[in-house]
Amino acid sequence: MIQKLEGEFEDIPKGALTPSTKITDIQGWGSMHALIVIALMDAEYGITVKGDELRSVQSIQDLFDLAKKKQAAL
Amino acid sequence: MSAYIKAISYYLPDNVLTNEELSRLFPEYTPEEIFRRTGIKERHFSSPDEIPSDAAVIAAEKFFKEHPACKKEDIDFLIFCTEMVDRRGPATACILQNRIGLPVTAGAIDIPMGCSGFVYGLLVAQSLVNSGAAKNVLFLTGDAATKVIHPADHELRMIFGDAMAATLISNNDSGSIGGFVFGTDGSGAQNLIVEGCCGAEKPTREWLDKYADAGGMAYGKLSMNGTEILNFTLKRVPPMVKQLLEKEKLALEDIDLFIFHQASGFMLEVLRRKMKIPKEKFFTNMEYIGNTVAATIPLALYDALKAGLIKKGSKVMIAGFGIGYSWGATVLTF
Repeated sequence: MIQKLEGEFEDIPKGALTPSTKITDIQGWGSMHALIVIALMDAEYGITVKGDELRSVQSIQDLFDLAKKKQAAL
Repeated sequence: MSAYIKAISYYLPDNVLTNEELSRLFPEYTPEEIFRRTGIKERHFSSPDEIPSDAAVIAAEKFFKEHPACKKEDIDFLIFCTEMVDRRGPATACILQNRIGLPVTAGAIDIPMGCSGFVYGLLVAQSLVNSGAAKNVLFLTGDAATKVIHPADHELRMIFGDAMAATLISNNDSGSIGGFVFGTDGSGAQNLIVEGCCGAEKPTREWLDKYADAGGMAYGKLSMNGTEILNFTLKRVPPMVKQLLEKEKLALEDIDLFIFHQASGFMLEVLRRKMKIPKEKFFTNMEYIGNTVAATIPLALYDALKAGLIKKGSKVMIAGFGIGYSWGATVLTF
């Protein structure tokens, strides 16, 4: 998922993200990144992440856990 | 004999908002970044004293000039689709009948719909023609979203522009408008909404004072929850396309061109990838136009026709989706 995120966020260097990276600390994080993450979650995991769920997520690991939890509930 | 789209014209206001100007107003975004986010380089906006009915008159005049075989005296029904009508009464379509100079024997109605408006209006026009109630329906579609966007709202200013399209739906044996699929979910109304106007939220002195530095926002103020709109689109559009293909007994490969509501470059690309539609069959024309609400589909149809991408016999799927939530789609055969 980290590779996918780095691929989608064109303005950050490879290797800049780790599971513990806080998503709001990602360089240039803003509304567009939220849309990119939502689209990625839909494409990769077939799940819907709502805006307020994304706001409650701290790290990339949390995001991954949320995706797995939602996927298991499908 | 069946209803078909005979001709289209459109009007864009002369005023242009470029990415360079947006970048000057919002220095945290470079022009390149704005283009990457939206797929848009320029949007047109109407002058303060020009409202959609004025644009509709210009679009209609342009239409009859561009298509001299289509005559005003042959129009027997007028549909005006916009979310910014002139007043509570009479219907703006009635005022337009007189301003454009259409026969007094013509019927005239408003359809106050947004992003899905072209598809819904086309459904009404098709029903009028196929039932024999009308032979030539002039369908004017467009909006002036820039008038309900707060000047400091950079996200909305990057996306929306103003435009008006004129489409003639006639009865003929060449070409057709196919079956429709549609849906509505008003539980999402709050996620894309014009606040502070009309019956539910009457304009107040407090409102006008609050937005005094933005001219009072007397037409209302558009607000959008981008993440929820994206989720709505991902949830509703792909099943709608599938449902329409099943209804029309077509495969994805049978469609020659897909023309979706030009919401934003990002959203269209996400949808295209999700539905695995080949790039060359997925038409976009928002680069120098932006998202013009109910006008995006006829503008794109016009540009695709002009570019020679639609030929005789071509099957074109059009899909509108957004504010409401409201969505609808059909297949046009040319």
